[in-house]
Amino acid sequence: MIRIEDLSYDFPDGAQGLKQINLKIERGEFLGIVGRNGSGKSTLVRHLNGLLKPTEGKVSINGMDTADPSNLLKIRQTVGMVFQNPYTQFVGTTLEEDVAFGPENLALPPEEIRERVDRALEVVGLENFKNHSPKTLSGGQSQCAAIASALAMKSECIVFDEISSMLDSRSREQVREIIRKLRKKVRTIVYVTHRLEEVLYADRVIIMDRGEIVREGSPKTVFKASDPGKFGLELPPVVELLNSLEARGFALDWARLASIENLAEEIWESGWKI
Amino acid sequence: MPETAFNYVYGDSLLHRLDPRTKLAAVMCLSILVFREESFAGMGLLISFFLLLTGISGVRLSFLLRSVRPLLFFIFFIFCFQLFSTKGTPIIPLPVLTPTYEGLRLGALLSLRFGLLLLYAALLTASTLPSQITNGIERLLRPLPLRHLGVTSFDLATMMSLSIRFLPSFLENAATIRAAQLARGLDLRHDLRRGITAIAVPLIKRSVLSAEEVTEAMESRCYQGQCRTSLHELRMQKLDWAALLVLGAFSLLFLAV
Repeated sequence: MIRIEDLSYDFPDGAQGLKQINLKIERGEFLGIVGRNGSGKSTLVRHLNGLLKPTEGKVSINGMDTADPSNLLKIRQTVGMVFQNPYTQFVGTTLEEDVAFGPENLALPPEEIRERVDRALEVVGLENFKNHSPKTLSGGQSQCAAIASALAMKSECIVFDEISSMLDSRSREQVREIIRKLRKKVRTIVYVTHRLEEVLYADRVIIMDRGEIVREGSPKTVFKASDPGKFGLELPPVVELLNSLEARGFALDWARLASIENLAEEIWESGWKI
Repeated sequence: MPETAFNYVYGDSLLHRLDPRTKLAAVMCLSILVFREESFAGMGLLISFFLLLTGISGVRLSFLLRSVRPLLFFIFFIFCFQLFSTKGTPIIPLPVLTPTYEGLRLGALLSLRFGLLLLYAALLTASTLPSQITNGIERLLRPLPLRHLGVTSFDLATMMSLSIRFLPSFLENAATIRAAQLARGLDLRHDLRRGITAIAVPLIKRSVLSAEEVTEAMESRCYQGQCRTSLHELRMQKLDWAALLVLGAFSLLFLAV
């Protein structure tokens, strides 16, 4: 559904942001994009809904070119985006007004806006906070609100740009839980992060460094084959464990490892054959 | 820094339930009456009407009076200015500044006027959510040919609601930056001019950066400043027409007497 061809991007000050990116994202895919700060991952995803225009190359969403301004509205309806800072993307004075902001822009009838707002808030578990102001919501709750706002747009694809990096570990877990739920509901997810453990269960992972895609493949192959340290990334302990288990001839099914608990169970069930 | 002036007070009174447009019209109409009124008797009537509305709204009078407090100095200044600058019969003959009876009367009238205007405005904001006020203003502006000026009523409404939304963040940022600069040894007491620069520059920088992020978030959610709808679409009820009728009758009567 998303096709990126030979995309290069130079910042207004002349610095090169992206070099020759080629990428296809299929409908229904969960794509993880990882890389250290300044690797170009946020710059890349800002091309997916036309916030940035390619200096060279082409980005098309369902066949619509993002460089054509007349496509922008449709593109932004197709690709939603949730950003890092929960406070600056909260534009309403209350939670429900914020979630309603997108559907209001689409000039939907009030009854439909109401329905979308209620449903989106239910998905993220904030239905009891409708009239709260951003001041009375925690960081995690605000980020959930941002997710609800994107959901209310009913877009085919949602891009999550480092949504957990400003949160404490508890809210991070809360947000991750919602993403897991969404995987079944939203058709396509692009998840940007610098924490590898957040994309362990992605369908595909790409590692970016200095504006280029340096590794691409399933989480298993990417995390095993490449040395993430080279790109300023840290392997999560659970992956290190899996890798060393596998090095001892004990192969586990990565697809089943939806959580640490599952991993423990898998090891337990193996009957200590290591 | 919890400033409670001009805040919304939750409630379900008759006044709370009125359409924001009705209330905006009422405040405008009453302001004109307040400004036109030259006699203390008329002022008294307008004050009684205010007290009646406050009673209906269920908002505590002391809460509304607090809204006037930040401007008390200004009102006092107006009073003094009128007291001393108006020509007429002196109360006490002083060589330079002479207070006069005419000045006393005019000063008292003007102070009452300003105070009452603020109180009516405070009653509006106490009984109407900021977003509803914005909504109401947007609907009132919609028929105007604003697009010739390059804006739409929706743009103006969004600007207003964003200001309401981000003003507290702005103040919070200012406080954070002030604390950070104080921690770095900024001396506000002896060098105020440098102190202000040291706070203003980072504050402006941070605000511009946040504004960019806000823009990105708004654009990503299809904001284009053109026709929008609202979760709370406004509809005039029988109650609103009745309220406007009462207001109209009151105004006519007031002007006739």
